[in-house]
Amino acid sequence: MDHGHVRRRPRPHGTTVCVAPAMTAIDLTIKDLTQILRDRKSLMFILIMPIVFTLLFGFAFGGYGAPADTRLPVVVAGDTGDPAHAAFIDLVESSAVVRLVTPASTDDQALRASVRDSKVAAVVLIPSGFLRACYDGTNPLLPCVVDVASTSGTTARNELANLSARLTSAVQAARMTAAIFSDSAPTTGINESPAFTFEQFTSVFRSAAAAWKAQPSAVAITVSSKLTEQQRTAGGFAHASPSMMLQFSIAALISAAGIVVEERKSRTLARLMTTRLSRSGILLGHYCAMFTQVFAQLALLILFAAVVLRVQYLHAPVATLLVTICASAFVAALGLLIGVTSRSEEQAIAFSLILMFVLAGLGGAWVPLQYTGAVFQRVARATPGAWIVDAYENVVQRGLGVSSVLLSCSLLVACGAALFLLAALRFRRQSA
Amino acid sequence: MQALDIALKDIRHSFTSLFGLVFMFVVPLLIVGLMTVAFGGTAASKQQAFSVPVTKVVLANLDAGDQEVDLDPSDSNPSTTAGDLLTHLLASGEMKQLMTITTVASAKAARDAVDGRTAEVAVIIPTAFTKACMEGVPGGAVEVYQDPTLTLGPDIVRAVISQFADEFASVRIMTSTATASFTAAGLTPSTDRITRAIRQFVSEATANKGASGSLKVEAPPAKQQKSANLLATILAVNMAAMMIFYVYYTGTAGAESILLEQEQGTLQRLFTTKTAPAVVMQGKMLAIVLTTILQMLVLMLFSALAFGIRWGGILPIAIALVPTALCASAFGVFLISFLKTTRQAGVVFGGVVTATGMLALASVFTMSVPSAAQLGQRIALFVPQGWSLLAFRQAMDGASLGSLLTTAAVMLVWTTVMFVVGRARMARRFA
Repeated sequence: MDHGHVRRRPRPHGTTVCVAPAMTAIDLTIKDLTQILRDRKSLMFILIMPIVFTLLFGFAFGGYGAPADTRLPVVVAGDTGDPAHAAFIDLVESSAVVRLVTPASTDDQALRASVRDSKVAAVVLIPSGFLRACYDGTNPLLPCVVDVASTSGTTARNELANLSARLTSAVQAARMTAAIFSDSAPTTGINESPAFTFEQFTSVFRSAAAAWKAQPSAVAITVSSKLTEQQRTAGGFAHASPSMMLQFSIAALISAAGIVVEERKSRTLARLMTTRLSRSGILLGHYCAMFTQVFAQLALLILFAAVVLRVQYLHAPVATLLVTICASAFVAALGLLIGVTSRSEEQAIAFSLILMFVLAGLGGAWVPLQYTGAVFQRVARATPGAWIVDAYENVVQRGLGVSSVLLSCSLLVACGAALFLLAALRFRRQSA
Repeated sequence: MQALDIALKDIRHSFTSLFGLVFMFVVPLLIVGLMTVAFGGTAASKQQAFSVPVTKVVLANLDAGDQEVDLDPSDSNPSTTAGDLLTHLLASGEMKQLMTITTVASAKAARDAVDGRTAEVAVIIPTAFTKACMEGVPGGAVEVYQDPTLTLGPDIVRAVISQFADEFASVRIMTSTATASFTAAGLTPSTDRITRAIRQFVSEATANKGASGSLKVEAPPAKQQKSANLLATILAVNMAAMMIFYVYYTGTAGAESILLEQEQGTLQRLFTTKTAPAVVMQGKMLAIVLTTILQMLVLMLFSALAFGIRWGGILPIAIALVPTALCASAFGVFLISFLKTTRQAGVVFGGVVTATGMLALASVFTMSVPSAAQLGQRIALFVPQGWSLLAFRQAMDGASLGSLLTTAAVMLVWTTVMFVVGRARMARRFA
């Protein structure tokens, strides 16, 4: 390229005239990028917002390493003098799903309100004389105040049901002992079985409840990842980082697509068409600018996540680079299509935001796909947003290499090519 | 009257703009429609169960058995192991909605299936599983080997296996506790008697099985009138969130008309008439408030009919709706007061409104993740949209009037502060 140089072209009759160098697609790219960089507000979309939201979602989904204590808070209240109260507290304390909290007030209404106000996930109320009722042969239920219309409530209810089953088994142990005791103990003088006292019943119940604490764990969890435990410390950021990169790479198209719209509206495009730069050159110039913008954005965000948040992008640098190139190619093609399709800058903003919502939502950027229904998952996994997140997760969570991202990358390139073709057709019609 | 005329002109403009209509009504309904598909049906549909995706499980049963008693006298195989019983349970019809099971011969094959992503979870039953179940000795834990990106599916598998192991533990604990008690009392009951008692216990425990076990589930006080349906809650909260997200867009877009009129010169012309600048501002504000109220009413009505969403009583909804409309309008005036041209407004649309809106939505995005939900709710309250969403959630949940009024009061404080600042800046500009 020879910017700023002036070529002298010989005229047919021997004189010379000064002409500006022919504009190339690269000049157009540089012009677009300069325009984007000059607009400091676009930095908000390119860097500031993705970093803020990565931190926000990363911490929300567990932060660094093993999350602190994500167990759901529950209260065990009611008759504190009942042996079942202490036994149930012991069982809750051994749980990996719920944790015991001390309520500010033990008033029944206040406890129920604490569930309504989401201060605790559930309140279990041990009825007065619970164990005595069990001793007398009835099967009293444990009142549990819980909002089963919430995910936390359902999870807490399931775990408390399991723990209550353990409590029931301790009651059954005491009952069985009582029954066998009545059969086996020597009869008294008047030919009656000796009574199994409430104290004896309580003692067996306590022993059985305590025995649950000594049980070895029935399940051992191991993880399929090529990363070592030290490398898997990114926690919630390992999902938040690729998700927010996807979301804000699309959002950041607002500025770049706006340039294409503005060029057409201000008739700069018509003037450009009078130069030697061909239609495809103009399109390529804009596309290269968008590609460079997205690529630089993703590269900076990857660097930030790798260095500050310890997300393992650099574990397989070639795979990360390949995904970044293919994702940039796809997002840039999307931006080009938005640019040539939008009639106004407002439309470009609207299209960018709508596509951001749809692709990021389907890609599992806000709610990981595992929490959505089966049909949604099937649809979502066929969209480019999910391919981008999945390819990055193959590297940063599963610790896989280049071969694991090839399929996603191929699909992204194919999709990007299709979008570019659509944009080219639309642009051709516009500029005809 | 002049203010009303200005308001009516602006409202007419808002409702005749195709772009505005799409943003006000089509996009929020489209996204909630997407959510409806995501979670498998409408809140009013008969199939109200939350659709949990089926987890692909690969199972390797290496259990050597070697137990003295037949664990399943009902079948002809005298050497049924605990591993066989667990395999049978996981592959049974009642688990079909939660997981699909493929069996393989070795632990390596099971792990390879997860590594190769043909399965999400591998369950490896160890050789000493029966021994561990029967005697409670360590070393017999079932290995659940999972994809690192998943938690829900592996959690379900882990819970099922834990419950299975609990049943063995129950019998073991019952036997050992009872035996210890008899020994202490100097009794020696027959084995037959103990076996009969255990069978009775197991049959009683089986009869007691259910989602809530021995719990008597009670809804918290204000939620008793509501459908205890997780799907309905998810859709309702998402609809409220989308409505609020786009109402604040409408508020900002409405306020943008001040800039547009300034650029077109109509505002200056208006100021040359007898209409005072304050009246013009009142008219503009009135237009935004009425437009946002109308937008919310249409969205609520449509979503109630199409998705079966219950919005709550008229009074609670009014308490949530009116301050939201005022707050969204003041938010728009506040933001626009910092801008000079409609070009800058584009960045505000895309940036500030989206960023603050997404902070408010953090409480919705994290709703499905119990551990993150509380943090999401707290973060949402840093922006006015978060308070609007809280008010609607309280109205839908049937919260007490006191808490709803407190939320409304906070929104009015936001409104006052934003409006005073925005109006002061506007007044200075048009002085």
